[in-house]
Amino acid sequence: MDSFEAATQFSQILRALTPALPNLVRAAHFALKYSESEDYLFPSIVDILHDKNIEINTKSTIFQFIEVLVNESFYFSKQPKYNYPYIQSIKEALPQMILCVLPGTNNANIHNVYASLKSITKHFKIECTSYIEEFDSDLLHEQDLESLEKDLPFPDVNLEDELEFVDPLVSAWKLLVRKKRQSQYERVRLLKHNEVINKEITEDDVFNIKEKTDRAPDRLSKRQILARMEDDREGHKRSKETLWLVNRPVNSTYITEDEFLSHYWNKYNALTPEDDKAFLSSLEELNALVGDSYKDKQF
Amino acid sequence: MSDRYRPPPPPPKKSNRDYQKSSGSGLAAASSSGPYRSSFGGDPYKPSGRRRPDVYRPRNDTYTPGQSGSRPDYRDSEYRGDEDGGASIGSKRSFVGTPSGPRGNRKKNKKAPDGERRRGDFRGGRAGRGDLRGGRGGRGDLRGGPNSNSSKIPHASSGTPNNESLTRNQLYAIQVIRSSRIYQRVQQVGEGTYGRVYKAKNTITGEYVALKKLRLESEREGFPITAMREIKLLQSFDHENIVGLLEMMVEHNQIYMIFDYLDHDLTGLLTHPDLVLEESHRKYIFKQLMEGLNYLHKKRVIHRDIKGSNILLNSTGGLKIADFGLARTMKIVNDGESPDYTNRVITIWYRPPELLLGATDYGREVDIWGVGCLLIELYSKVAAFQGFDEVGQLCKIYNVMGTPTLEEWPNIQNLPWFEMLKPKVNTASKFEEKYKSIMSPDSYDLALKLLALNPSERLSAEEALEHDYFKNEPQPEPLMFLKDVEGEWHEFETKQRRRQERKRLHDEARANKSTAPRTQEQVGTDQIDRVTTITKSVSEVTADDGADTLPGSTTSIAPPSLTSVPKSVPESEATQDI
Repeated sequence: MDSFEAATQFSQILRALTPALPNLVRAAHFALKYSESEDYLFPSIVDILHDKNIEINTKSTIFQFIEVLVNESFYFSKQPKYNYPYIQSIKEALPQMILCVLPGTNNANIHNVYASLKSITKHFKIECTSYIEEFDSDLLHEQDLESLEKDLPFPDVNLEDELEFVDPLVSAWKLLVRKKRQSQYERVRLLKHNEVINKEITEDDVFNIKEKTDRAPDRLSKRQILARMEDDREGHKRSKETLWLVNRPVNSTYITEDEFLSHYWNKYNALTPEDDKAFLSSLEELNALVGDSYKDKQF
Repeated sequence: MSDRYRPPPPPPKKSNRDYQKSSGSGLAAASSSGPYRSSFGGDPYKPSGRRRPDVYRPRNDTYTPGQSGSRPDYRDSEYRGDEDGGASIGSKRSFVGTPSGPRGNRKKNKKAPDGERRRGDFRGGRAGRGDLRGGRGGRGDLRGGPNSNSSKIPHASSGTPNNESLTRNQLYAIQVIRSSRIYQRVQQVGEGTYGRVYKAKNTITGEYVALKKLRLESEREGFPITAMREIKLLQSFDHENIVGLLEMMVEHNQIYMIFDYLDHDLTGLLTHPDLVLEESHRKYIFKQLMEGLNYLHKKRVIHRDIKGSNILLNSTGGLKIADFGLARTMKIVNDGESPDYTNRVITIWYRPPELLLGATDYGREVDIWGVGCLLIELYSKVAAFQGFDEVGQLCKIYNVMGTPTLEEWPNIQNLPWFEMLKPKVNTASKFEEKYKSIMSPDSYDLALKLLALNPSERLSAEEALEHDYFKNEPQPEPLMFLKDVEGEWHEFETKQRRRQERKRLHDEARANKSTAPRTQEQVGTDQIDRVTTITKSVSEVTADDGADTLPGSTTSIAPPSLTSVPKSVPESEATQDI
């Protein structure tokens, strides 16, 4: 297969991608198999994310695929044959991709993007923990509160907002946090400025559901929402399938001492100073009790 | 070494060998109530007590009173030794013949020329196993003494030397074929993804039980782990408001769980057209429900399928929580870790908003939402939120409880699907206008607190039991009148009756259609009224001669009127997290 054919086929695979993990892995392996044609294959990923006719459920799947691709690429690169294919291009394009997966004010994919980006970040030696922690906190600035009073919409999140000379991964995180802030802002704005309805409402009244006539790909129909929930649940279930994996030498059927130790070491926290004190004092008490039980003085 | 037999016990009293008497129901199952259980648990052996039926003993073993009495310590240690079956690594004891485990001994047995040698071998294997448990020194001393093992051997084995195969009383478990069934099935009372539930009569005791038949056909990977989890949980419960697992039964490659049988379930009972509940009765039911739930939550168990059809009631209103097919114990997590449970739990009508929005780090609060729904149901008789899917369910909840405000639930925005199902309007709570008039002030207040949208604001089961609802008059009172209620009221039967009605309606409508095609449109509504009145009169008739009919047989059950019945409850989801 020449590069062009590979790119065409890859594009087809991506358009029909479902979020089941085996499918994602298969697509990633395809990309890695033709990694010498990276210059042809990578643009098809970007093209699909930019395609206005692709529904945002698929875009979320593509972002999950990117996570898998990064993982697999790092894994493959343990062999000398591979030299971290796609990694650099993906990293450079991350901020752009995030904006494609979270278009306009529709942040339906934000949780999945957050989870994927968190997993991608683990491979790079770039400090992003502050963003990860920040993500679930109250992000509204004082300035936001002022604009909220005036009932102004949140300014559009653009790529240019974060074009300082930082690592693309960091600006990806900054954009994502900004997106989350946008979402929080819009929720508060709605609660603050919209009237409270006191009559019976339908699903279409409450939620942002795409109607049948509506062609906008950025909104989800009810069917798509339900499908997405099911996909997320399935993915969640799959993610647990590797929980039982252990790190054990080949051909060893026994639990090693190290494994046993690290299991229990990780399972329990260090005692707090108070607990430690309580433990030692009750141990002392016990020792004294035992000591007293001897007829003769011990020690 | 196979589990089918165990090494020899100390010399027992021959007259007490009654393996057959002790095998509980007589089926090839370990009865949880019979002596089998105590022998499984490895209770310390008491010389005066009943003999364990499940230990291997060579046929030629004879008993000498004097000897037995003089070796209490030895016997005790022997006994403990054989509890830890499985360990079969060789013994280092010098006085016994072989250093290898029991299997090796058995092979040698065949070659051994005399009984004495054989006996010694056998003991040797056992001694080795006992030794693995430690405490070797003390026991070794005992054995080396005048009352030791070796001194006894010549006497013990001087009987018959031929000892090639096991006799019946040496077997650890025996399949006994009975000519009659222990449990006589009466009728089906439930069905779900797990399998079916039948009402059955124990022909020995005459008691009714519920047989839950596990669905195994679809299981290619052996015994379902979800059933394992359910059994394990059920075994750990001991509370009057939690259904009791009486025993497990294996029959024709089918596995049954056997439970207490209760005549009604809450959903079924509430569909009874003539049921009138007083405040004291509702309190009685709800108090028991909260007591049961509090017990579970104290034990760190989340039920995860609270709904009316899983709340069983007996003929005086005594309540038991059933169906632990989705239940699990809570993980112990460190700070900042998520327990990461599946959110594909709880039948959708009783599913709390956080699960509808994809939470995986929930806790006991998910059960509290369910009982809150049931409290309303005790008054309104219909489920409070009857959505068809997740989207519809959340819409129903927002319609009644209002959309969550910032103060009520600030963290809702961190739930995975919040952005996907973000409300675009604000709605007010209509809870007061809907329920204040039909509930008492106390119950209304309690329901409001149990149904807080924000899970962290919901009362815990313990707090709920402290609520004024249970303190103020009237006090809870048993539902004695239920004894007079005809038939048994389970959701399953209610559904079945409704299905039959619908079918009849359909058939009649079709018949009408063929005769008078033009009036087709009117048939639907007219027909419902007619059939309702017909079935009512039928129920009155059957209620009179109900004494003759079997309790629980479908003919004696009064069909509820179609109009008073809620839509059928969707089945609970089956899949569990691993």
